Amino acid sequence: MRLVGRLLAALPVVESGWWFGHRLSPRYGVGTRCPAGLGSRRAEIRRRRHAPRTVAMLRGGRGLRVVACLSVLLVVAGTTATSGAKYIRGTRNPSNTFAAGSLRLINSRDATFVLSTGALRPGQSSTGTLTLTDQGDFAGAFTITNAGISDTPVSPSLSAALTLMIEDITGTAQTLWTGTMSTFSSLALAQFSAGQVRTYRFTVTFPQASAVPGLQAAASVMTLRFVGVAK
Amino acid sequence: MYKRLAVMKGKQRASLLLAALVLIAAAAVGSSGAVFTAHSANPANVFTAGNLSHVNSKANAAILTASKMKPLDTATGSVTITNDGDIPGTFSLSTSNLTNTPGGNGGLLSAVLLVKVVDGTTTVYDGPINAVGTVPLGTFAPAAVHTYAFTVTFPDGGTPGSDTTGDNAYKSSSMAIEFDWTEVQ
Repeated sequence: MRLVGRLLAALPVVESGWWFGHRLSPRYGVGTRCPAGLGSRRAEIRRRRHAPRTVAMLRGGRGLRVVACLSVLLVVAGTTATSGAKYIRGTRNPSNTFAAGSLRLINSRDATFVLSTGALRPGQSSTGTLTLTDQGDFAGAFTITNAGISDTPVSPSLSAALTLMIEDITGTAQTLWTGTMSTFSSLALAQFSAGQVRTYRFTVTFPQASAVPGLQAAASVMTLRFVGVAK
Repeated sequence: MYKRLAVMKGKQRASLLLAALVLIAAAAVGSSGAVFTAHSANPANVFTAGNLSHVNSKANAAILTASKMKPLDTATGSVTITNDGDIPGTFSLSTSNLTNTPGGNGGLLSAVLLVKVVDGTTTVYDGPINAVGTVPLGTFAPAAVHTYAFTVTFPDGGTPGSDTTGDNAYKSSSMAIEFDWTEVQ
């Protein structure tokens, strides 16, 4: 009996997470010392040495630890069962990038006059040119629009007497529009490819036939607006 | 009787004790009621954990990209998701890592782009690219293959009111987004 008792007393206190051949998985958060709170291994051996050398008592001590560990295992099992743990697998497709381009029109005479005629007399003409450049990322369709005419005096109006001719002189001169200045509304220009440059000539003429005394010292201001739409 | 036992010598007493033990053992066997027995076994009960897995045909790569977009432009791309596991999986699509780089007019491109995701003939999402959330895709059986077609559209907001408002607000802006596929058993 004493021999058996000593053998049992010499059994190592269970300190690892191994129980019944199964290791407790660390991901469940179980520590590696079991059972906790029963003292160190040395203290346990000392306790056993001073305890009565009976198999029943020694086995009772081990049984307590077994019960404690089983309790922990049951708690772990319960936690696992209620944690909703599942298999999960994910894949990703990163860096889906989208970038907007830019349509940019460069007007060589932006915010200033294309032509200005001072003391224009009947039968005279005045010309001015401007260059449009599509500096955007796309082809663009550009339009010249009459953004407003201001006549002084309002009547008779000089804009109703002057004629306007718009030409594309990038290559061979091509007349795009001609008529009385006051009737100009808008003109669709040729489609620009990205980076393309085109030059336009504007000619204003004071026809002899339109000259009336009331237009002496008359003035007319016309604002042209260039609008581009990406194509 | 007791006197007789007492006068027996040690060897005789031991023989008598042995004989008594044999008799007791024989009696125990005789009263055990042993009859015919039979047994059977079911060996090799094997348990194997299932494997939850899927293949993304463009894993860790973009499904679609687009540059120099303008209103009414679209970009398309597709990705194939295959359940190569041996158990069914419940799939979902979500987005993450959304970033914006505004252009000179300050508009955030993700605020205007739309994305449509179609599985065969079924549209699983159609809406703003910045509001995908988590889209349930259903449960795929092992070996099931689903190809998702993505279309990103820059909608036409009409003629801008000025050079910096309307669609012009998004000129030269860019964005990036990640599409995430999650399979759960």
